[in-house]
Amino acid sequence: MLTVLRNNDKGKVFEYEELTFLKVNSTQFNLQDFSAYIDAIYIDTGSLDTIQTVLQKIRSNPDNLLFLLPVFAPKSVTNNNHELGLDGKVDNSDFFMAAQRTRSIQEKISHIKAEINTEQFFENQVQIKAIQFAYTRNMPLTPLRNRESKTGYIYPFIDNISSRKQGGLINQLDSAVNKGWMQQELQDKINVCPSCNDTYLHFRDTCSSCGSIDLKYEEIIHHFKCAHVAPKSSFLMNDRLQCPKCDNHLRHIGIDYDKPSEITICNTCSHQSQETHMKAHCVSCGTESDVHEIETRSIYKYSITSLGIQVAIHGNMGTEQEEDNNSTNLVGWQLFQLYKNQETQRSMMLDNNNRFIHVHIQSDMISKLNSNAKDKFRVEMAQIIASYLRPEDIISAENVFNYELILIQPTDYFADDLMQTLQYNIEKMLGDNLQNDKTSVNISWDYLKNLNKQQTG
Amino acid sequence: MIEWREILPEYLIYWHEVGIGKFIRIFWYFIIFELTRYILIDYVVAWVQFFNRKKRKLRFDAARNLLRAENPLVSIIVPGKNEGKHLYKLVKSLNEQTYKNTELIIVDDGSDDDTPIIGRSLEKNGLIDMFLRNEQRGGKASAANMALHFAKGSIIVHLDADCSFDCDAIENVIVPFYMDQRIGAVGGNVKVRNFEDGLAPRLQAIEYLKTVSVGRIATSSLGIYKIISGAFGAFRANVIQSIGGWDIGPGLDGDITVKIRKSGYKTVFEPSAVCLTSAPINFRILTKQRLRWDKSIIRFRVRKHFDIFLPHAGFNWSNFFASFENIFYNVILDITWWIYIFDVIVNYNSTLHFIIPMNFTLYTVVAYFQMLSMYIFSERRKEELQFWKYAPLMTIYTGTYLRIVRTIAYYHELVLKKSYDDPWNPYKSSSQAKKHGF
Ligand SMILES: [Zn+2]
Ligand SMILES: [Zn+2]
Ligand SMILES: [Zn+2]
Repeated sequence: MLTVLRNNDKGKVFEYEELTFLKVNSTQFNLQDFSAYIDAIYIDTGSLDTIQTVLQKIRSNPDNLLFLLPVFAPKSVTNNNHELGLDGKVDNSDFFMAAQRTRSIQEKISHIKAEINTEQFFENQVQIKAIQFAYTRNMPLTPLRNRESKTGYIYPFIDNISSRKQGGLINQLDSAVNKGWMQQELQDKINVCPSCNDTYLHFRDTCSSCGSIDLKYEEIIHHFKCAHVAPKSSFLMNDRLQCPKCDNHLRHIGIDYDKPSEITICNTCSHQSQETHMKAHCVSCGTESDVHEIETRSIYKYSITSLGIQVAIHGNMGTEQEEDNNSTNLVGWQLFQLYKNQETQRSMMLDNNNRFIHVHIQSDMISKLNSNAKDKFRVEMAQIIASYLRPEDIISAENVFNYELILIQPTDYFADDLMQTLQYNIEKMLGDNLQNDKTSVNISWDYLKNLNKQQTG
Repeated sequence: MIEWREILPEYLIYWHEVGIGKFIRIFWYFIIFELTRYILIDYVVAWVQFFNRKKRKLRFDAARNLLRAENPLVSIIVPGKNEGKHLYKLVKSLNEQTYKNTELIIVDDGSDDDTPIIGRSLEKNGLIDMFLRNEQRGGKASAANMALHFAKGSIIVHLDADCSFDCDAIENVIVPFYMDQRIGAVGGNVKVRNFEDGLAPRLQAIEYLKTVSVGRIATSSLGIYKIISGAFGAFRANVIQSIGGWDIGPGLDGDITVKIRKSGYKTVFEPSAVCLTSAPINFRILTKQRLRWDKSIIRFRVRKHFDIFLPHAGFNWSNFFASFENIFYNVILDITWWIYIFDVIVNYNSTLHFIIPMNFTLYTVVAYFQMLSMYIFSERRKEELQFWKYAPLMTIYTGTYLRIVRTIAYYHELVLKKSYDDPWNPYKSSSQAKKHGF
């Protein structure tokens, strides 16, 4: 079953259940040499450093066929495959699990039509890479606790993309959230040093007068009977509490006495106060900051949205604002036409079964609606249609009567069932809302690859 | 002779005709007590003061020079609950003081408003030297004692947060310590700031001038001054520490003064140390305040410090007279007044229509004599001239209203010991005080 195809000193290529693995044991290999035909990479080494370097080499590659490759390492090397950004581990050269994982990742990779445009800003590349990774792994980008990290958290994939400072790259995830590509879920809040962004801070009370940390705290005692109030130490006599004013013993808190407050005494300057200043001392750079100067940052888990999936698959088509983007399957008409032309070309070349569907609604009542109501109707209708789609499919509305859909490599069963469902549901809905109206719903379809023939022919 | 009979009201003619014997018989209370105290004593003291004024001024100036040379640290302590709203104004007023070597300690006794926020921020900005807050309220005495514990000055000045001060008030209130080593405490001159807010504050303003200012000048120069106002008083730190500070109130002002006198120190009044306070603005609040004050006379003079009247090692005639004067002019005269009313109603029922207007006339005349003595003593005499037109009302205010309030208070305290239930103190303190009988 395990067939070694080719051996050289840089790497071995072998096949397992019709999947091609590249086995590397050092950082000295050229990924480009193998890119055309490998499905996954197996880093056959016990060295964490080597694994880390190889992973970085793969994930930082601008070519999306390469940086998304599933990567595995021997089980013995680490307990937690997420920690390094691996896709899994291989137990005793048993590639069964690795093969399964590779197949599911490769299937998603095969959907991806978008190419990372190296002309784009690095930041944009990071965002696209992040959503493509999240999409192909079917997994959110989750922060992991890590003491070595400045923030106390690492995002293994992001860390492997680039040796650039992580803080900046995390900001890229936040802008992906702003674009609607990802959504965030709060995991933790961290305090960072205002001068070096490190989270290794020691918080301590300091004297409000001289800033010293050498403070002593004393409880204040109030003796009810004689109204004497003083720090506890002045009441202490032979391990008992005795009032220095009236010489009575204090036996029972709440009946004889209480402790209404506390006083802080500075051992450095003898300042007495109830007010101390909480200050944070940065272990990394030594900066002493007031608590209000400390920045609080949120640590999130990032998961991909359906719009993000569209972008991961089709690429980022500029910054056109989707007007009806409540549902992320729903895209603007112009953007859709661009996709359609692109997909048509691609489908012709690849000869795949991507489908184009056209939904036409005819209704006198609808045509009598004012433009505002028409708009509402159009958005509502598009959203209803979108709700039946898979994440990778898209829909757009030309106007209140015409809707176009692209289904990415649907099974025949799914596509036919979808068309029937749409026909039934739209008719039912229109019937309920527009009684006595002459309505009709026409749904037609073709393979995307045939679209050009129709237009030209 | 016929002419003035027609002009004068009937009751005056009546009293003219019945003769001096019956007049004294009927107005015995007025002649024996009111006339002696408010006319004779005040005017004797006024004359003595008048003749000694140059000598006293020299002594006062010499003492002030001594004070300025030594420039001791003065701890200004301000205990209170929910006084946050007054703090900024207080701080401003204290910043204007001619005496600069002071520290300001505010104790927030379990406030449930914004006081802690205001206090902390003033402390942070250096306007308050120490802001202490007790989460659980302990009562005014405990708050003052807490401030006392942390005070570093050799002189303690105790203030109420809602007071404001003449710019030389702090200096003048501590000068007497440099006139006489045996002076342990000095009372400031408290006047009413808000007298324009209504009849109640106006009548209190006159009352304060009369009893608090004039009355205290008199008792002070007689050596029997017995109440250092809680609103404004100064103490030698070592003296007040040696007596353990304040005991549970209400009425701690009087109590602390008696304790200081008992420990062998003099207490004096300093009229030139002027402090303005806000008096209760209506009679409902005023009645509550006076009930509390009057109860404390019974609780402290009669009950707690009764030993002053008994022969013992620390016996001191001036303490005896100070307390005696206090009890006599309040408690005994109050009881006597009711005897007098009873006497008149029972024996002279038919001539009440002559007695009442005559009484009113007598008290009004006395009131004007008192206005005159206030005029002599006051350092604000011009401003205070506007009070003169209210003098006739003082007969009803002090002669009737305050007497009735006082009687109710005495009854409550002597018979029911109500002061222990006063919400002025938290229950935990009151119950202890009641249990131990002080
Ligand atoms: Zn730092
Ligand atoms: Zn200090
Ligand atoms: Zn005690």
